[in-house]
Amino acid sequence: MKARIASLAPGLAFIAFWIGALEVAARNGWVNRVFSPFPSEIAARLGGVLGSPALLEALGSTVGLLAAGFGLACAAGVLLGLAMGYHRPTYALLEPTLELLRPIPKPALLPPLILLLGLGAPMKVAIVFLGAFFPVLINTIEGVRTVDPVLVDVARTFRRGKLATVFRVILPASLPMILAGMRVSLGLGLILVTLAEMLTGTHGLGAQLVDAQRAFRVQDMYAWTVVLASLGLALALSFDALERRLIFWSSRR
Amino acid sequence: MAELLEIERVAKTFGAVEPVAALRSVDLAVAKGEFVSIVGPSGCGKSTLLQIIAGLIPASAGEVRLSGRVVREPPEGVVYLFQQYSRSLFPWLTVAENVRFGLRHSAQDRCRELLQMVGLADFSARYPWELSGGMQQRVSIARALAAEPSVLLLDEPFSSVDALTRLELHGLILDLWGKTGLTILLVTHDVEEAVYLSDRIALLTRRPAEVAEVFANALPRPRRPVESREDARFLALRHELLTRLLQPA
Amino acid sequence: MIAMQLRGFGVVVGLLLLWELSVRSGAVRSESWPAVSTILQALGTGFQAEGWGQVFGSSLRRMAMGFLLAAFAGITLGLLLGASPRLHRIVMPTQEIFRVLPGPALVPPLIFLLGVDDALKVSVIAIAAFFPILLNTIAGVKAADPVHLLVARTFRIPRRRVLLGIQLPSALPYVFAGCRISLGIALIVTVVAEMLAGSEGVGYFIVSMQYAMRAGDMYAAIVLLSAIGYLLNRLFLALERRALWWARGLERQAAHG
Repeated sequence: MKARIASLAPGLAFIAFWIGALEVAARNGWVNRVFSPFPSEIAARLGGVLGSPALLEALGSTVGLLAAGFGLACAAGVLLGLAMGYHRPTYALLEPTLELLRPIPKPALLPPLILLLGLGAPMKVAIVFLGAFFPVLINTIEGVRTVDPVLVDVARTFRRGKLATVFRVILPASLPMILAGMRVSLGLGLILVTLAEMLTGTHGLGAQLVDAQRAFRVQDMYAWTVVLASLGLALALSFDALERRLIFWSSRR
Repeated sequence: MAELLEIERVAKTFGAVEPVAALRSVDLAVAKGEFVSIVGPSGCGKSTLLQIIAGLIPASAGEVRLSGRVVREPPEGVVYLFQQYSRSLFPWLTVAENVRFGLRHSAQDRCRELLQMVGLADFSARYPWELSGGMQQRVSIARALAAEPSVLLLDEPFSSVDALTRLELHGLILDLWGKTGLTILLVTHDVEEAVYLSDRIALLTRRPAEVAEVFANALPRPRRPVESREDARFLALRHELLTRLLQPA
Repeated sequence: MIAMQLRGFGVVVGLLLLWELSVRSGAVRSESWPAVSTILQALGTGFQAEGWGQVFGSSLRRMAMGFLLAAFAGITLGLLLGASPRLHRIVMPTQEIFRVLPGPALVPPLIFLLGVDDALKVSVIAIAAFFPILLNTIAGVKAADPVHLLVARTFRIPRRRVLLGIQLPSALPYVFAGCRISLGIALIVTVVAEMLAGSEGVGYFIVSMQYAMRAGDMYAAIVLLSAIGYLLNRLFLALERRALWWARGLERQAAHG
C-alpha cells in the first residue's frame, strides 16, 4: 500500500500542478475568466452540489439506468455468447443477423429509440443495453472458443453432462475474456447514458451538465463534469476490484 | 482370465483432404487388475490410441470394448489422466475442490482421505498453481481416484517432472494400484518406466502403428526402486525393448 | 456447414420480411416504424433529395481530421511515455482522469472554449480517439523484445535510434490495433458531436429527421452510416495486413520455434 502511494505521488503532484496553473491563469486573467475552468470556484460549486439533493437524484438516476442496461446486456451477452461459442449451429444461425447489427454506431440509434420509446427510462436503458451487449457477446464467444480443450476433456472423462460442462468448466475458464468485454461495455454504457440524458435533458448527470451549459452557469457545469469523471473513476476502480476477486487465478497459471 | 478391456483392429486416420494414418490396426486385450504399458517410437500414435480407449475421440475403424460393451463416449468407470496435468487442473478451484470435481457426491471425508492417500492432506486449501509439478500430478491422481474408476488410463503422466519426483510418483502409483485392484493402462516413451511398473508391455511399430509384440514381464513384485532396476530380468527386458525401438525403419 | 450458413441468412431475410409485413398488413401503424421498402427508397433518393454527398462528406472530413490529430498525438506521446517509465508515472493519473470521463461530457465545456463549429467537433473526436492509440502505443513500446534492446545496447546505439529503429517497429502491430479501435470511436463521436452541437453532418441530419418525424430518411441515414463504418473497418484491416506482413512472419516463426 505504501509502495503504491509512493508510485502514485509524482502523478498526483502533476495533477496538483496543472490545477494550480489553471488557478493562477484564471486569477490573473491570462485566460477568459468566465469560460475557463477556475479551480477554486469549481471547488466551491462542487461543495454546493455535494450537499444538494440534486446530486443524489442525478447520481441515482444515471447509475440506476446504467445498472439496468448494463446488467441486462451482461446477462444476455453471456448466455447467448455461451450458446454461440459452444454450439456451432446456433452460431451459424445468428451470426449474420448480429454482424448486421454490430457495425451500427450506437449513438445513431438514439433518435429512433426516442421515437419508438419516448424520452423516459425505457429508451435510456435500451440504448445502454444495445451499446453494452455486443462487446460482452463477442468476448464471450471468443472466450468459449479459446478455452483449453484439455479442461473440456477433463469434464468429459469424468462424464459431466453438457450443462455442467458449460457452467462449471467453460464459463469459469472464459471468465477473463468475458470480464474484459464487460469492462469495455461498462465504459460504453456510461457514455451512452450520459449522451441520452444530455439529449433529453430531463434527469441525471448528463441533463445537469447540459442545463448548466445552457444557463451559462459555467463553473457549475465544470463541477458536474468533475462529478461525472469521479463516477467514471469509481466505476473503473470497482470493476478492477471485482476482477481481482473473480479471476485472481488467471495471471498465475 | 476374463478380459476387461478389448481393443480390436482399432485404426485412426486424421484429416479428410490429405488423410494421415496414425493407427493401422491395433489389437490388445487387458485383464481385470492388470498393469499394461504401451511403448513405441515418438509420434507413433500412442496417445491417440489411449484417447480412443478413453472414448474421447472416435476410432476410424475397429472397436474398443469395456466388459463387453462397445466404447463410444467416455464410459463409466474409466478415467483418463492427462499428460498436461497443469493444464488439466482447474486453476480457479482449490486442491480439495479439484478433487471434489471427481466425486459423484461431494463427500468431505472421502476428499480428505484421497488427499491423504497422495500425501497432500496439508495442501487442500491451496490452489494448483501454488504447487510444484509433482504435487500437481498428485492432485490429478487423487481427482481421478475420486471417480472410483475400475480402469485408469495414464498418458505419459510422469514425463514432465524431474527424475526423483518421477520415482516417487512410480511408488505412489504402484501403491495405489496394489490397494485398489485397479486396471491400469500406461502410455509412455520411457522403456525403464514401462518395465519397472507393468505386468505386460505392448510394443507399437512406427506410424501408422500396430502392435509389434506383447512382452510378458517376469520381474517379480513387489518392485523396489533401486533393487528391481538391477535385477537381471529387468535388464534383459529393457535391452530387448530398447534394441527393438532403436532398430532403423 | 453451408446449409447452416444459408439458414443464418434466412434469419436475416425473414426478420426483414417480418418488418415489411408488420407495416404493410397494418399490424403496426406508426410514424416511427417505416417499412423496409420505404427505408430502401429513402436510401435511393437520399443523395438527390437530401444532398447526402454534402451531409456525409462533411462528417467524414471532420472525422478524418480528428482521427489524424489523435493518431499523431497518440503515437508521439505513446512512444515517449512507453520509452520513459518515469515520465509515464507522472502523467498516468492525469491520463486516467481524462480516460474515464465519458466523451459526450466534454462537449458542453468545449462549446464555451471553442464554439459550436468544426474546432469543437474535431477536438472532441480527437480527444476520444486519442486514448486507445496512446494506450496501445505505450503497451507496444513496452512489449519490445528485451533481447533486441540488449543487442542495441551492446552495440552502443543511441537512444533515439533505438526508439525509432527497434521500439517503434515492434510497437507497430499494437499501434495499428489501437488506430483501428480509434477509427470506430472517431466515427461514433463524430455523430455524437453533431447531434449535440451543430447544424450539419450525419448526426445533425438524423436528429433533425427525428424532430421532423421523417423516420424513413432517419433509418436510411443510419443504414448508410453503418455501412460506412463497416467499410472503414474493413479497409483499415486490409491496410494493416499489408503494412504488417513482417509481423505475421515473426508470429509464424514463434509458433514453429
